[in-house]
Amino acid sequence: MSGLLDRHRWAWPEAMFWCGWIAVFFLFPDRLSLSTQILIWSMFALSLDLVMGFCGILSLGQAFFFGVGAYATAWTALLGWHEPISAALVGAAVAALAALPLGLLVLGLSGLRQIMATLAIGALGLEAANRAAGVTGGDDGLQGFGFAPLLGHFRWSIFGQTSFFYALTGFALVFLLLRHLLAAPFGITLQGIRDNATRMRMLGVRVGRYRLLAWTIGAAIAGLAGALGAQTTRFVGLDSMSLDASIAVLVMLVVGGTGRLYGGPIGAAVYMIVHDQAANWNPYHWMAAIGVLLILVVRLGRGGLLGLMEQAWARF
Amino acid sequence: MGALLIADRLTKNFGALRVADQLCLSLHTGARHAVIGPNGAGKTGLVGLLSGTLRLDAGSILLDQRDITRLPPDARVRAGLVRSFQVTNLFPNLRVRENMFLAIAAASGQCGSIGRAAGRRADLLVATDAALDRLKLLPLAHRRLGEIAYGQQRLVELALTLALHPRMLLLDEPAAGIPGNETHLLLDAIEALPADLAFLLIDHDMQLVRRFARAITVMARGRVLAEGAPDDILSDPLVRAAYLGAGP
Ligand SMILES: Nc1ncnc2c1ncn2[C@@H]1O[C@H](COP(=O)(O)OP(=O)(O)O)[C@@H](O)[C@H]1O
Ligand SMILES: [Mg+2]
Repeated sequence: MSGLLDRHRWAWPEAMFWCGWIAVFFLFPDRLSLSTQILIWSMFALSLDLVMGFCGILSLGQAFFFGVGAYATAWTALLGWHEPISAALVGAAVAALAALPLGLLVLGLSGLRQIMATLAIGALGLEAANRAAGVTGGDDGLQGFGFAPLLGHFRWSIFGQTSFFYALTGFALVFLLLRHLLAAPFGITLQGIRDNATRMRMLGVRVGRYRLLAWTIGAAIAGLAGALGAQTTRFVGLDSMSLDASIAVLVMLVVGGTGRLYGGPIGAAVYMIVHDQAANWNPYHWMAAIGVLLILVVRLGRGGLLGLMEQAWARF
Repeated sequence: MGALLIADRLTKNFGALRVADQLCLSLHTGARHAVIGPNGAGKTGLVGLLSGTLRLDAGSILLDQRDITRLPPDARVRAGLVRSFQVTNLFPNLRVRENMFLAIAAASGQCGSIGRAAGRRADLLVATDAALDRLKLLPLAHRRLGEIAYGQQRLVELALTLALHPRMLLLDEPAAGIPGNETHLLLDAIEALPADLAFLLIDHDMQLVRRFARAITVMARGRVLAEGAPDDILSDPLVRAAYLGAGP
């Protein structure tokens, strides 16, 4: 693994990753909707990587913020505001606002108790969304909202080109932002907190403040991912907030590799492609395919698929 | 010079065990003070209470006439009260330079900085390497901390502590674990400490204590047994009996 102080340097495999996404557009024009969903879940996985992989906060409730962002953005449209980019940012902001007080509850805990507290946030959030049918549409979800053409120009075509490039741009911007933050002294500080919070405190670092910052930024990114999901599918259901979604994003991150930024997006792609293929083959057993993949990746070494690729590359 | 640190009747119990029993201590700016005592006397406990990692049952602490009794440990560090750890407590998965970078960023209030990448912060990187060089650690800068010798880790620990610009330094057995042929690095570093920095040195090595301390406190079972100038203390038959009777 390259050093913490070299995080700002670009490596050429990164170019492959981004060129790959451009190539997807030309190679799989009929799979743009799946590709868009992969991009959105990639962004969602990034949010969990920031919180868990880079800051050591264990969260099983990350989908709560995804759902909050999705509902908030749907509501901006339902209330008559149709400009898509600002509406997505509203989703991110509302998720961040929700995260602040919850962070004060969760971040003082550690280990199993922290996992349980975040699980409780997810469960209570889902139950609240279920009860507040007037706001969330309950089981039926929210639909019947739409957005103005992107940048006043690009219509949301049924073939999904606009959605794809919208999601790709959003994902790339979030990625660049995180990459920058994590390479800055702020990101090095988070790494120190993850590795040895006690020692960071004894260096005079306000550990709680940085954890809260990372947690809130993570929630904003999850909310933005939820917002993009709502905008590109024009639907928000309870499943966007479910424990299943929290677990799915965790599995994606672990499969791809935590604490390495590209891990989440790669895990999201693998997870959703396996999901898509296995659903053709046997809709009931795709979870088994993911389970086998997860066990293999976890057994074969730390660092997920990306870690395995790095090991193979080092040997090569 | 006025008192820099005043600890008043510090008391701490672990169940029935009294780790600190009405401990009083007063150090002035630039003090060179040693605390000695047999194992289990409560010396590390005292460091914990002063630095805030252990919570007091009773008593109060003043730093520069400011009551820091309720201040959390990180705020005490920012106020200039810094401790080192008896057992190395660092970031084993990070490189030596990255370990030091964290201390330098903390000391210069740059932990939250997001303007430029850490690897482009020439100011912080130069300070990092200078701090490593003070203890001749530059050749190890690129090594993972967990894979260098324990004695070298001890020196990194000390280097990080010094990088925080302490005014009051608590050194808990800094020489423990450093092999004989490297102790001179530690001695030189302590020798080179600025004159206005006060330190409290805990060690079993009487040569080290004799060399640096201008006052000694002898502790046993959480109490101050004796306090005074090194020559008086180290020749006091009572102290010798108590210390050598139970100590190493
Ligand atoms: N966290 C703790 N819980 C219970 N007892 C402790 C704890 N820390 C230290 N002690 C006990 O307090 C006494 C003083 O320990 P310590 O301050 O480490 O002694 P010293 O550093 O002088 O050798 C010892 O008897 C030790 O076993
Ligand atoms: Mg001790």
